[in-house]
Amino acid sequence: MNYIFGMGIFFILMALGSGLHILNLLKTYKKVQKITEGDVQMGEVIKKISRNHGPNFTAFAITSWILLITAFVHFYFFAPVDLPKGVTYFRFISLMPSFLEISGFGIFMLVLFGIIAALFIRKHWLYSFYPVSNRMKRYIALTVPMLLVSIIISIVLGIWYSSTLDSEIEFWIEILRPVALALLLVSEGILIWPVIAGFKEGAT
Amino acid sequence: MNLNKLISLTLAYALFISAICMVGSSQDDDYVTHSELRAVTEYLEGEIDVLETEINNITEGLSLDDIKHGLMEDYDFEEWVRTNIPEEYTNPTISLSVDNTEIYRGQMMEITTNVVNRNDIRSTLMLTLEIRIPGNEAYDLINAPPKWVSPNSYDNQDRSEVKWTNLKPFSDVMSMGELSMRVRVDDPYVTDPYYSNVVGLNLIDNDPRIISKELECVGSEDDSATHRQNTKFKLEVADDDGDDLEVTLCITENGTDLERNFTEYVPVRNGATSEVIFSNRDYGIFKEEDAGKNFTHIYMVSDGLKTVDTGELNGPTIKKPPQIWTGNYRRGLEDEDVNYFWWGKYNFSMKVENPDVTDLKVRLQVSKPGIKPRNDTDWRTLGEKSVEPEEDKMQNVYFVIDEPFNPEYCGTNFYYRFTYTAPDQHGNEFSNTTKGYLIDDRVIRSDVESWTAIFNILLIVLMSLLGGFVIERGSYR
Amino acid sequence: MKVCVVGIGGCGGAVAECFLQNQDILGGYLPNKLHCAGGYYKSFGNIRGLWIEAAKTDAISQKFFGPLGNGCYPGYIIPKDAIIKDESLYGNIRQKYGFDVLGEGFFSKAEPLKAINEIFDIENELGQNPMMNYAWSSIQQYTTLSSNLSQGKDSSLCDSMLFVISLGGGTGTGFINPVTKKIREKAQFPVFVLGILTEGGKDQRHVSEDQRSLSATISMYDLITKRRGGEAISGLILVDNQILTERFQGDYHKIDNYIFEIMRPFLESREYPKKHLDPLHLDGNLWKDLKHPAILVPCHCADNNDDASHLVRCALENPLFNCNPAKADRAYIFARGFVNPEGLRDALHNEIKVSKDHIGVYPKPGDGINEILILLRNPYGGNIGAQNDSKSFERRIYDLISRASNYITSSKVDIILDSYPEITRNALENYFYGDSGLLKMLEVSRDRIAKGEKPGEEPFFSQELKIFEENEPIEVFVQTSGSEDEKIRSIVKQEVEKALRGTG
Repeated sequence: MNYIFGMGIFFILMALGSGLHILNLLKTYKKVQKITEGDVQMGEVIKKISRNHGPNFTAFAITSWILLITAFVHFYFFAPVDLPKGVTYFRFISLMPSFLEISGFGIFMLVLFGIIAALFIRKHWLYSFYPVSNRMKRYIALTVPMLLVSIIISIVLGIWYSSTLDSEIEFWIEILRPVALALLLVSEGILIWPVIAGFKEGAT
Repeated sequence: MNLNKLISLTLAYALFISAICMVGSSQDDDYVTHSELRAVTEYLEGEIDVLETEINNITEGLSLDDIKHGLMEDYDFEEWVRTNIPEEYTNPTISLSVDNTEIYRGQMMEITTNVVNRNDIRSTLMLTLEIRIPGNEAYDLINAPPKWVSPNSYDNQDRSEVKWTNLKPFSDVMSMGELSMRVRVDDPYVTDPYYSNVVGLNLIDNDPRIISKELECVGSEDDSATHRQNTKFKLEVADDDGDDLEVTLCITENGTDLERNFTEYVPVRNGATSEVIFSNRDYGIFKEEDAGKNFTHIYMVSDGLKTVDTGELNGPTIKKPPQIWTGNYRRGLEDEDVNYFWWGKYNFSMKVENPDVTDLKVRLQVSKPGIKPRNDTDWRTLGEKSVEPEEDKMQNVYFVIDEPFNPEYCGTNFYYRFTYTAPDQHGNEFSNTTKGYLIDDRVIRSDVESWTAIFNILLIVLMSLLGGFVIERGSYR
Repeated sequence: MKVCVVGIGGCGGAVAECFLQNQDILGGYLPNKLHCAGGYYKSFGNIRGLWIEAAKTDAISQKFFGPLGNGCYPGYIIPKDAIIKDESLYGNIRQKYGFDVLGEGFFSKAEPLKAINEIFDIENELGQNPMMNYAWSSIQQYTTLSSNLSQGKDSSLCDSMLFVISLGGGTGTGFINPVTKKIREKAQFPVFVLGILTEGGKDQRHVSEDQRSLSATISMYDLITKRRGGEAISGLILVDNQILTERFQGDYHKIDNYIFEIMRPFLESREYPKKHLDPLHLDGNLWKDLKHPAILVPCHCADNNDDASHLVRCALENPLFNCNPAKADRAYIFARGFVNPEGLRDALHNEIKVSKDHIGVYPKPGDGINEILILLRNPYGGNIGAQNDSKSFERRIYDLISRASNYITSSKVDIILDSYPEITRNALENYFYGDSGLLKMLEVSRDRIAKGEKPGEEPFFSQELKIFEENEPIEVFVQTSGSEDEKIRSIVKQEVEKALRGTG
């Protein structure tokens, strides 16, 4: 079964989260303008009303976002299951030494997205804008193992992809692929939930 | 038995039966009404009854043998002719005409003969064409079928037209120039044949044509080859007369008068182009002693009447004999693994005997992934080895290549060959393209249940966990 | 404004635990010291704090606070640990005064710690009170008054203080005033006390209500009678545990969490642009027209509705200490969320008729819900016989004072133990039963309450008392029919005499 539709859901959720976050920012800015009787900059507002959720949660959240993109890329671009070989890692796998060929793709993605995160994530990033309950923080932290499992499943399926398979392995492939996608999309939903909740509650 | 009457009645009977059939078939004809058809049918049936009665009267009491005997014994044609020639009989007038008086030998003609026969009783005439070629005095039959003019083929003006169409009556004539043609008529009512008017024709011959010529030296761009190589002399010829052509290749060694001639007979069909190939392999044109010599060649084409030629052409040059002998090409897997994965060590080997060559280099090439190689650009070089000459000794040249392939080969066959810097016993500087194994589909080298896989997965887990914390400690604060 | 929360005693520690809960995840699973290798403890409003406990057994029996001396955070200190166990020195004290400086906690008695503090003041050979020094140094590190200059400029340090105590618990307020004095030596620094007034009946330790009332009274007395500029705190936020016990059916955990919830607007450190809450400004506002620390009654409301009138009405219907909000002379509104500050001011003015100029509004960002904390300043006085109204502030205080007086009167043998040496017995006799003693003062207080005296002039507790020092005669503020000059002369004389004595 082709899981390309999952790509669409992923991007829709991302767009939804991004759009709602911008709306939240604008809504909050307007409300703050009323309280401060105008003449404030958006940046100043964000800086002032941002909250610190704690170093552990922040670290987990940053890890989660990096892993989310990495898991998405692994699901579709590690092995040519849904996409042609030319756009997947399998095209470049011979460049990796054999002891790193499984993790090479993941390491590259982690480093790449880690650098991007390091460059763009600042003190007043996504979650500092929203109230996140302790329960929600735990759920967000849980997305780290969920996404790691999704990545591991994608890697295992990639190893199995080109091998000679018996019926038992084919059975597991049929089970595991949707599980990996489900973990990916559920994690994404959890990660953007504070934005959605913030929108429902009228931003911060 | 009145044979004449029997024959006439029989013929009439056949005619009426045919008429009945025609009427029956015209029932579907929209132009004929049903009542008209019925009237004609009734008339014909009546006549048929009369004829059947008369035939029965004649043949009553006769057996078939009697009838045959009677036919044979009674049948005397000359007697018949004598007894049946009409008293007043004028020879029909035969006039011959052609569509063109200047013709080529192979040219298609249409010959028309008009016969005017005003006799009441007509005989069946047999018409044949005769020509008198230049230099001959007598007329000869030409290659054309006789035509028959039956007594009932005349129109109401006593004319009958006979045509010979799609005729090439002069394709076998070898003398060109003015010739005469007439129609000979054999008339059973006339003892001697009589003739039509004579038509004069001018017979012209088409020269054979050389369309193209080519000297093909295998593996060479400068018209040189070894004596063993299958050098080919190619010629395209045509003759508009459709004459069979005789093609001769004449090869002359430079600086000598020594000629070698080879002849091919080429049937030319309908004037189409024909290709003639003189190959070294088929004709054994060159020998070992020809090595190092230059040759010229010339083609001559004749249709029996005329001969044309290409003029002297350069080539070929026969190269020195091969210097190395190669063979015994092998490939295998260095490891004991029976699966042909894209990784792993593969070995390729060949044997070389090279008595005269120094600094012989042998290269191993494999095809690019997924391609059946046809050009030099379809190959990748995996390695090169130098081979030093050892007199009269076969040497093994081994290539052990680690990971000669990449994942793009997965699921495809590869091809391999060896190339060398001197010609081999076949005169080639490369071996035959040989098909290799089918490379397994598997891309990733490690198994799921392996320490490598576990290590890699743990690496990802640790890096991801550390990454977030490092970023939080660093850039976030 | 960033608050440093100091919980004192069992109740203070429990409430401080709620305030200082780690907002981060995995805080409980990772060692306090490490916090993910360079991490930090994250409490609500970026507040910092610690717990001061007298009883070691109570301190080590819980898991939230760790020994501050071991680098734990949040940490606790046991002030007596600062005292070097010099038997020769402290044995003399025990022999002379009958108080064991190194003994265990004080179990619902406020006067032992008060006495010990005074002994350190009297006996020069003891030097500075090590317990107070230890307490102050433990607290100071979290504040902008830290001796480390670089830390002093650190925005993560606290610029105000909130002591959380049980009024009626044993540890009492003995630490607060000395620490406040230390603070005042360095800077004008707002110091609040969140006092949770003991509920009726016997408590968990089966201490009688009268005894706890006395302890509460002494605690409040020592806080409110200080004058501005010396050891005086900025304000005493009163919460009646009786109300909370009834509301939450005695579930102390829920009570503690509720107290944290209502204090969130106060503790929130984020601010809107151009709405900076200057602690000094707040401190100044609290002292406006007062000579003694303000009594602040908290009223809280949280709602999704951002209508100011609704929030104010809801809050005033929910005071955490019985009172008539209209009697407040000033009010301070701490708001979280997107509530219009001017709307709040107008609404409160409309409700309790306090002048808009006397209403301070401090808006702060919220967490998706709108909530306000109104602190009503001194909502009592102005009408005679208010103590007869069961729902009045006066009634609660009047009852408290009455019970304390009853206990003093009826339990002299429990107050002045026979085991005490004579000097202590005499001092306690004088402190409690003297002409200027506590019993007398409590009687005066009840009179003031009954007469409806407004706190602007003198609160119901006004004259400071000491155990081992000679106390001044009772100062009765008598509104004479004399001239204004006489009145002024009398006041000036009292003030000059106090200043010459070097109070605080």
